[in-house]
Amino acid sequence: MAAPEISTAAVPTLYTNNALRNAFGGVLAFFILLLIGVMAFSIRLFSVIKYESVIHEFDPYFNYRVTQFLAKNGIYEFWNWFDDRTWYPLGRVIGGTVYPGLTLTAGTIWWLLNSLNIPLSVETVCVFTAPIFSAFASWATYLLTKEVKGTGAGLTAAALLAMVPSYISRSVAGSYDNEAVAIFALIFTFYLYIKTLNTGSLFYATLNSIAYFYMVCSWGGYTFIINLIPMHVLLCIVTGRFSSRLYIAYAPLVVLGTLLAALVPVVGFNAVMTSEHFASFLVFIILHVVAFAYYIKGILTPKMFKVAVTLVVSVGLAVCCAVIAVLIALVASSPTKGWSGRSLSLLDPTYASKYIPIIASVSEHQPPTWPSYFMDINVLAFLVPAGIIACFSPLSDASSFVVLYIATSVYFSGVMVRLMLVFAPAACITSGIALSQAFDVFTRSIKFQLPGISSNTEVDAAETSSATAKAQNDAVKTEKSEETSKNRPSKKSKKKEKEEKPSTKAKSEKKRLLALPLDSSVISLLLLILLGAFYVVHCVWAAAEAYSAPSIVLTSRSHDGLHVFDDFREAYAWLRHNTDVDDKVASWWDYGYQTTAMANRTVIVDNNTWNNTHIATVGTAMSSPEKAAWEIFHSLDVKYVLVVFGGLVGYPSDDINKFLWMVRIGGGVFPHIKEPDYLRDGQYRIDSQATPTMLNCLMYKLSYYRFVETDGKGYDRVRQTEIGKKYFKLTHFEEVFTTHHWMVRIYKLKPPKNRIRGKSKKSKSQKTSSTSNRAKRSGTGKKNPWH
Amino acid sequence: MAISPASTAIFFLPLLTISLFLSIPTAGSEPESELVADLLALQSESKSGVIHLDDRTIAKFLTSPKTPRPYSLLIFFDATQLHDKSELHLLDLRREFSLVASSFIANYNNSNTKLFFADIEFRESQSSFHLFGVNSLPHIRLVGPNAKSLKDDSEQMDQGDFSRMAESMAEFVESRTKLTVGPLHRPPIISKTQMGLIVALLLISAPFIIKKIFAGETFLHDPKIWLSGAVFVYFFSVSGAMHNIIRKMPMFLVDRNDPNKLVFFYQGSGMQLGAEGFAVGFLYTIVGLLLAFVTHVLVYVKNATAKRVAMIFALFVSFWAVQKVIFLDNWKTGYGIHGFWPSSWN
Repeated sequence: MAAPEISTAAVPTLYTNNALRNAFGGVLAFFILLLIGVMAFSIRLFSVIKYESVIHEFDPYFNYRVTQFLAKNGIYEFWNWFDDRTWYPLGRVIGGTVYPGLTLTAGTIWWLLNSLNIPLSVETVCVFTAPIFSAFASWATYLLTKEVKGTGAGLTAAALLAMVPSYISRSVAGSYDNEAVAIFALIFTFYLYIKTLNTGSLFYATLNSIAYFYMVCSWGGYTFIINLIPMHVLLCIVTGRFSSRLYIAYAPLVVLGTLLAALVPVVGFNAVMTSEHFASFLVFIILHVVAFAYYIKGILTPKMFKVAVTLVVSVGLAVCCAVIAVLIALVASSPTKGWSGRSLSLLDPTYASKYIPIIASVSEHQPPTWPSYFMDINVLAFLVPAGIIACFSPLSDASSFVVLYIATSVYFSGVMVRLMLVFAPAACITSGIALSQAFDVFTRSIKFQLPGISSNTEVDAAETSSATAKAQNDAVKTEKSEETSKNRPSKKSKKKEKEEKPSTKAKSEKKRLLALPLDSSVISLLLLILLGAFYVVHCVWAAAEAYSAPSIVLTSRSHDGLHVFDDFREAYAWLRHNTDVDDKVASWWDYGYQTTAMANRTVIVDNNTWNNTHIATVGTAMSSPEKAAWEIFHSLDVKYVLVVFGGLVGYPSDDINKFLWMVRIGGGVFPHIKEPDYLRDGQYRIDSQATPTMLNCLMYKLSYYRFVETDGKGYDRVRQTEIGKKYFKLTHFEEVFTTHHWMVRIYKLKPPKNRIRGKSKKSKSQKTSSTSNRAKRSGTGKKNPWH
Repeated sequence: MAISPASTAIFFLPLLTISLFLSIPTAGSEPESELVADLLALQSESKSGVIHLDDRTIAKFLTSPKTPRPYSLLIFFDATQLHDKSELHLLDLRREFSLVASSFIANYNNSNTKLFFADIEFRESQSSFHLFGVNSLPHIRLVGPNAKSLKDDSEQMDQGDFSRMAESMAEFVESRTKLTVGPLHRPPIISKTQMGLIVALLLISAPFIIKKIFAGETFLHDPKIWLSGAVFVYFFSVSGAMHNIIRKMPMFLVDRNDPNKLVFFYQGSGMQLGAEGFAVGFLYTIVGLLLAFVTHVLVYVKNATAKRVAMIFALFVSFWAVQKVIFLDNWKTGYGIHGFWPSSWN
């Protein structure tokens, strides 16, 4: 009787001990996750600290403006918004041509804060949307990795993702672009898919469809999801892993997800009409065939099943063949075989360079070299193979998904550097798994071999010793890097899970046998910590130095200190305060989004380059002589012309450097603009050797008007030369504003009335010429579609 | 039935005009119509329609007849002993050349007598090579009807004209002879009978494959295949092999200053060489593989010394690889990565 009593007494203590440890681990994990979130948010604030809380670059300004409109007018107005401030006189249907996810998210945050009486401006909300969603993304990574390999790996992966440079580059504070929320949506959709796969719960399947809907709302990259998940389903079927959980994870996603995706105006019927989505439907059918086969197998005797299987297989094959034939016919009937150029260039990497130079020419679409990987995922590049192997031992539904995710995304990132962003979360997940397993093995080896404890074989003692061992390790680690602190609970929870099951002597003996030599384990551990520390240093450096410049405010460091060039905002503010609200401003398309957002003036062209003719018209005007340019601009109701000029301060990406593109694009539509006219012996130059066409074109004149007054010589710091034509007067334009560093110059079109009166005052011969001018002007109308 | 006489009429029309044209200047060793007939016969003899010329036939068809000849010859200069030099692409070009020839002949229904495709082999006809002044290969030359001196009056196809293979050769021909080549008939990668066979095989094997899949016995069920595939894809991508394929980067360059030295590493982050990418991709991959080896395989090894030796080896190699990559990256990109330490530490 005594023996059972003892055992019953022992069990509860062990039990409560474990429960306490569990609770402690849970709380610790929660706080670590909180800290990871804080870190993900704060590492992205370098741009605010070094510059200021401002929206970056070009596209984010458009998103900001749309958000402002949403905040002011509400969702229905936004949905039906026809924007007449851009692409004058055509306008643009905003509601139907943007991915609304980002805007709606930021708008909702703003509305929520305001209804809580927290009066933040829309701009502040927009600036901080990306860092907030990076925190969410790292939490989503934790959830996803936890489903695959447990809490420890989850925490490690979350910590790695919080500071992976590739993701930082798209989500610093102020970088208010689609990718900011889309990466979170991507990871979260994958998490819900895995969660459904592990649990077989219809609740998670529904959530999964909704998360997919959010992803579709946010980014065109959603096609990656709707191809990756079917691939995984197919893989599971082919490798004999079909289960009802797989069915529940996939079928609702296709049906609900496609229906929801079709609700987004930009996607619409593309969700069922384009080849990017066909794979999912095909797999949907295969899944049903297979599910039917399994069902038949379940209700029939083995003998009957053999008879039935031939029937089912033949019927299934027939159905499949029919559907494949229909799909092929559909695909073949479209000229690009139903695939968009970008998708095709992913499948066949040489496609873009052969057939679509415009895609090949974009720097984001270049194939990366090996330093890009080291820059963007740093030491994770070393850890990923270990993570892949860890996913195979043992292989589960969830870990096979991670393997598929990393294999496809690493291939895609190899084709297009932009897709490194999709690869980075996968790299973090696998590296997290690898790191956590390595720490697990090494700390276990140390724990079981520490001198003094080895004689004591009792389980409890071993466990307490493990705690002390960990404490010692922690003492070593804490100063080294925060990353290792995230690994700590991973070991604990791992061990917990393992020890929970059969915490017997035999087990601990077995574990002792699986240990590695003590000294080399300690060295390995130290080296891994060093590797992690290097990662942290690199990430902080990348966030601070490489990815934080807003490009709207420029700084330069010289011997006499820091110079700040805030000319862009100066110019836009001038426009806002000194021009009429309905005035039209012409500039090259790069500055369209910024002008509409910051100056609130109507522009002719902007960064959404959907109408080539319109852009060509502006390019033609810029490359024409003053008078012809005036006529083109006048026919477009333009009041002001804005040019960006870097010659005084040496800002290289100014309009003179982009000018050849204006000539090319203009000449593509209006053949009287010829590129050779602007080149001297094939060379683009603006000094005294430049061609007369070049020296007389509007862009040259507007850029270099009065430039000689600055230093007396007219020395251009970007082109490193003195300009060709120094003293000239403008006849059809007048300078109204030039910013502090001459980076933005604004000109006003002279009114036609004055010009004619001035000419009519002169002699008779002049008068005839003016009439002939008028005749010529109506004649030139043919060249200009807006006349 | 109504068509065939018409087509024969078209067939004879050029011959007729040529013979009319020939009847006036009756000089030369052979009447020109016979030359054309000979050429046509030679052309039909060869499978691809490329006439094989040697010193004797060159004399017969090119040097002895008086200009203007009634035909042009596009000549491909071949050398069998150079076929194994892969950088010359002689065999590829030869194949493309015969593709243009056969397409041209097919498009004209064997009835064109204005342009013939020919090739010369170096060993057989060294004097003809000398006659044309050809001393480097690959070389393709068009001898027009009015070319008197083979060396000076014939037109050489530029390197750029055959770089894009058959299409650009056809363009060259079209621009120089004012003859349209027409669509090129590339042989399909798999012929129709092969296609039918494959489909039939697939259909027959499909039930067996599906049965195997249900039984779980295919090689697809072996995780090792998937594992090595995934690691290979990873290695392939991080080594920047896609970049090498798209940009057609060479494996290494020859040093400009010293031709005996090879350059394997290119400084500047926008570009990389093939060997460089694979070397660093290997370094990237080896560390992870060693780590996985230590954590998944080595723990099961019983022998303690073997464990220790293997671990020290793994540690050493990993450390070296990481340090090498960091060094190479700093050298290649020129970034100075530094930490942000408290200023009181300095």
